[in-house]
Amino acid sequence: MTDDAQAPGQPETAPLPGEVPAIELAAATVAYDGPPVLDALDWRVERGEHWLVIGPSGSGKSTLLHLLAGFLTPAAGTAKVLGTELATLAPPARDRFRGGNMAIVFQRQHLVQALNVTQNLGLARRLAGLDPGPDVIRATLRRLGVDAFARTRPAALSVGEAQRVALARALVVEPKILLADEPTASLDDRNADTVAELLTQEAERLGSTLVMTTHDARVRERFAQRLVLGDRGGA
Amino acid sequence: MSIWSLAWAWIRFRPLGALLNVALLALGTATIALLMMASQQFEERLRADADAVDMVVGAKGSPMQLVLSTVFHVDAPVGNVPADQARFLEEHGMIEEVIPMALGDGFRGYRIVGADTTYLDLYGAEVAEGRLWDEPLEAVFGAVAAAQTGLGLGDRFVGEHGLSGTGGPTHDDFPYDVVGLLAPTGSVVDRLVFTSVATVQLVHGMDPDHHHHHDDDHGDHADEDDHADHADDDHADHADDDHADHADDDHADHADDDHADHADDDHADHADDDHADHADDEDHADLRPPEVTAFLVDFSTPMAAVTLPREINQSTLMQAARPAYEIRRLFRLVGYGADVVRAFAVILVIGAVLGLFTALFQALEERRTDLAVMRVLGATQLRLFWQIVAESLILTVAGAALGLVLAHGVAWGASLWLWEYNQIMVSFAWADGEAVLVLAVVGLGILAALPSAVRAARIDIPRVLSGG
Repeated sequence: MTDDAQAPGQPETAPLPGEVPAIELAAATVAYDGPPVLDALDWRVERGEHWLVIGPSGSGKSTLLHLLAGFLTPAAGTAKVLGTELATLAPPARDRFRGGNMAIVFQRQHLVQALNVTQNLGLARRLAGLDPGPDVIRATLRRLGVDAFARTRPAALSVGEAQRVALARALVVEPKILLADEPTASLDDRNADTVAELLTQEAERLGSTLVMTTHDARVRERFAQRLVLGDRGGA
Repeated sequence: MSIWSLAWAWIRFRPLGALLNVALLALGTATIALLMMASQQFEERLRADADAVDMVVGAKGSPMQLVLSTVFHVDAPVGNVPADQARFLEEHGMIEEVIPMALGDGFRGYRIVGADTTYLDLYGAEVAEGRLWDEPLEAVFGAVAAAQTGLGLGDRFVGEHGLSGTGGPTHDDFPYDVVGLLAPTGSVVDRLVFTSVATVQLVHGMDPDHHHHHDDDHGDHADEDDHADHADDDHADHADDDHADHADDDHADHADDDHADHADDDHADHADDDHADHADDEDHADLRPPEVTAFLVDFSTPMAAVTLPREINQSTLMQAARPAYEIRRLFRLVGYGADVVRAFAVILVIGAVLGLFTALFQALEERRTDLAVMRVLGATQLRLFWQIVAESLILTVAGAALGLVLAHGVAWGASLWLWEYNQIMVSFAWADGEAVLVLAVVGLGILAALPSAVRAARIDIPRVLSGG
C-alpha cells in the first residue's frame, strides 16, 4: 500500500481526531469458490480522502468496491463503512444504507435506457430517499456540461456524454462515499481526462470520500493516495 | 420516479409488445364479459317470461315443447285440447286463474296468439296506441311485431297458417283489424300479435260457443258421436255463408245478413251475440267443437306446484308442465354449449396471460442491468419485486379495462342496432360477475409476473454489472 503526500484531489483539512473513518477494513477476506480474492486486507480511509486502487487484473479491485458497497460480505475479518459493519445489516437496511450514503460510477455507464437523462437522475435521488430536487438535478447537469441532454435518452448519447451523465447520477445524491470502478477505461484521452477531473473536482466540492479503481495510467497522477493490490488481493 | 412512473416508462419503451399484451388481454376479457352479459340477459329474459306463468296445461307430448311453444313462442304447439277442459282447471281449489290460449297462425313470422286480455297482465304490458282486442278478428300488436311489420292502427291483415313467415297458406276469409299497439315490455309479448281465443277458433273452423249449447262435456260428446250430427244441424253453412263473404267483401255481406252489427261497429258483439244466434239460427255443418292449445295456470297456493302437475298428468288426457322447471332443464341442456364457448374465452385469457408472462420474462432479461443499477442506487429486493409486479398490473388493468370497454361498446352498438331494426331491447349494463372477472384477470396478471418478479429480486448485482 502506498500513501503518497498531498496531491490534487486531497482534502485540505485533515480528519478530526476521533472521527469515524469513511472506510475501515480489518483482515477483510473475500473468497468465491476458490482461493480468496481479497486476502486479509487492512485498510483505513478517512473521510474526504481520495484513493486510487490499482493492481493487475484479478487482483480484486472490483471485488473491493463490491465489498464496500455491501454486495459482498467478508468471509473473514470486518468491513466498516462510515462506522457501520455492512455485513451485520439486514439486506434491505444494507440497500438503504448504500443508497443514502454511497454512489458508484462504472466503466460502462449503465443508465436506464427507458428513462431520459433527467429521469435517470430523478430515479437515483428517489432510491436514495431524497426529494426529486429538480433544481439540484439541473445544477448537477450544468456543472458536468450535459444540461443540453436533459431530455435525451441514453441511447442518443456518445460514450463520453453518457459517462458524464453517469457521473452526474452519482453526484446528484451528494454521496458521502463515491466509488468509481474503472470509469475512464472505455474513454478516449480527452474524455478520460474530463471525467477524471470532474470526478475528483466534484468529490472535493461535496467533501465526498472517493475511491477509484483503475488500470488507466492517464489518471494516476490525480490521486495522492493509492492502494496497490497484489495478485491475491493483498495490499 | 415512483414505481408506477418507472413501470410506465418501461412499458412506453417497448410500446408494440405492450400493446400486443394489452390487446390480447382485452380480447379475452371482452369475450368473457360479452358472454356473461349475453347469458345473463338471456337467462333473465327467459326466467322473467317463465316466471310469469306457474304452469302450462296442454296436449300430451313433450313438456319442453309445450312450454317453448306456449310461454316462449319458439316452437310448434304440441297439439290442441278441448276448450271445455278449462272447467276442470277453473274449479280446482289450487288454481287462482286460468288463461286459455289458442295458437296456429302467424303474420310475417310473428305468432298470432288467441288469449284473454288478462294474458297481458302477466307481463305488465300496456297499450301504447288504440285499445285491447274485444271482438273477433280484432288484433293488437306487440311493439316488435308492430315495428317490424309496419302495421298500425286501422290496418288490416290476414294470418298465415303456421309460423314460418315465408308465405304459407293464408286465411284470406278472415282479415284482422289492428285495433291496438302495445308498449315495449322487453318480454315475449313484444313479438306477438294478440287476438281473442274465439277468433283463432273461428279461423280454424271451430265453434267458439259450442259449449254454450251442450251441458255435457266433450268427452261424452265425442263418445256419443255427436260431431257428425252436430255439424249437420248446428253450424251448417256457417263458414260458407258468413266467413267466406266476410273476407271477400270486407264484411259487406255481414251487413246484409244477420251480422249487421258485426260490420257496422267493427265486429262489436260479434262473439257474444251473432255466433250465439248462429247456433240457434244457422247450420254450422263444418264447425268443430272449440279447442285451445293450452291453458296458462296461476296457482293459488305454493303446494300446487308439487301436487297439481302430477294430478293432471295422471288423471286427465292433458299434460302439465312447469315453465320454471323446464327452463332450468333447458339451461342445463344449452349450458354445455355455453360452457364450451366460455372455456374457449378462458383459454384466450390464459393465452394472453402466458403472453404477458413471456413478455415480462424477456423484458427482465433485457433489463437485468437496469435492475442491478437500481440495487446499486439503493433499491431493495422488495422494491424490484414490486417494480415488475407494477408493470404487470398496469398491463393487466389496462387490458381488463379495455376489454370491458370493448364488451360494453359492442353491447351498446348491438343494442342500438337491435332496437333500430328489431325493436329488441338489449341492455349493455354491467353483468353480475364482471368485477370478479377483472379481479381474476388482474390476479392472473400478478401470477404471470411472479416468476419475473422473484428473479428480479434475486438478481446477482456483481455478476450483472461485471457483464456476467
